[in-house]
Amino acid sequence: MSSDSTVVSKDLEQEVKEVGSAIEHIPEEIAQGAAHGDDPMADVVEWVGSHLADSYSWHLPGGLNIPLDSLPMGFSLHALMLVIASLIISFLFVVVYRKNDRVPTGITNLLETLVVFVRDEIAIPNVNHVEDGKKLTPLLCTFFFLILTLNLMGLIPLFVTATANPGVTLGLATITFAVIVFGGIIKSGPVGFIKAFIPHGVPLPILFILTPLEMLGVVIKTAALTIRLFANLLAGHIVVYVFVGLIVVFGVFGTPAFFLALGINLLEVLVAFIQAYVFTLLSAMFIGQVWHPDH
Amino acid sequence: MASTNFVFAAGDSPSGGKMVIWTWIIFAALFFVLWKFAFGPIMQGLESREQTIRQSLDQAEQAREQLEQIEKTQEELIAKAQHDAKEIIEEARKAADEVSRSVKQKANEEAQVLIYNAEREIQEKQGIARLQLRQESADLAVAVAGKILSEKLDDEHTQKLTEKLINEI
Repeated sequence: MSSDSTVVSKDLEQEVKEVGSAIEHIPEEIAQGAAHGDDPMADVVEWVGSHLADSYSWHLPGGLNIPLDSLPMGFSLHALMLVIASLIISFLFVVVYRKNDRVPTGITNLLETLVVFVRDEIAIPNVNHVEDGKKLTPLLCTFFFLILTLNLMGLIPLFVTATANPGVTLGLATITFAVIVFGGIIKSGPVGFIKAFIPHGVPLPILFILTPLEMLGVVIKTAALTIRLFANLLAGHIVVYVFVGLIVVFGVFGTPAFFLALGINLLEVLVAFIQAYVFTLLSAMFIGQVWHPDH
Repeated sequence: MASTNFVFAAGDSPSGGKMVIWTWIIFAALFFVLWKFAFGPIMQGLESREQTIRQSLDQAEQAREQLEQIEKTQEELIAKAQHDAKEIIEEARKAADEVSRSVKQKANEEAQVLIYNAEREIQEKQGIARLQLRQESADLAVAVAGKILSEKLDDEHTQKLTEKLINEI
């Protein structure tokens, strides 16, 4: 087994040099890993994992390495991505967006279209209340633009995908949860808030089962928001990395996988928008269900 | 194996729990900045612009209605003016007819008077002429008769006789 694997790894180094120019720095890392590992598949899996997991350092091209472990409170690479995304969004909306133009043009027009979309297509119809929809638009816009920026940053080689981290998505989903619960209590009072969970036209005994279930529903919805976002982003990136890894495992015969990886990456652009939209839409719906129940 | 649980940050990787807190902090900061400096003014701007557009549309509608009203009155005025003009022309024609008729009548009457006067004058002149003719012819007759009677009669007597004769004639 061990003699086979050294042959494989020598072949591998040769293959890697052939496709190396196309795929930047990735093959060297794998070649290094493969040189002291005995199974290229396991190395690929570890490589995929190390590229998706959060860490305390930011690897940049040219061997540049920015350490983050000296920062307090476990400030990590994904947190840094959140900060960068926030700065990009703040720059776009505070500096670039010309708020006093009577007729918006250029980037202002693009951003305004998205803000109006969030307000008119997501917030107002799904919160089911015009005034509350307008009030929640800044929050939902922040969700939408932060998630969208993080998703798109994950597709740019320099950055990593913070939204593939369940900690980040749980953080975002708990904000929706807090808005649902505390906003609901402030809006309709503790009694009115509980009334929102009591279904209409159901016999009294069954209410004792259904009402706690409905309340549990809010927690489940929050968990669903968390898992939906990170799982979608993580899965897409794993597929891209695995396709690139196939080139390592199968050598020259694996090169068509490059195009598959490219195709999936393009799909990821679509997913980046869809997941940002879905998270925002569902947040608006869940808030609306408790703030303004149908009955 | 580190590879299977990389998602939940195994080993020395950062923990997901701290990431939740960092997400809250960064989201809160971002939300505050955007709400204060971006979405607040943007939402207000959108509202005011939508209102402006709505108002402009209403005003355009009003202007269109006014224009329609104006066009309507314009048409009415033109129609009225045409009608009036027709009436005025008709009246003028009538008046002209009247005048021409009266002028003709007057001319006729004057002509009649002139003709009447002329006839009368002619008759008068005729009478005078006849009288003179009669006198002259009487004188002539007397002279002829005197010459014929060879001066037997004196002038005074002849005169009386002549007058008597004339009157008899």
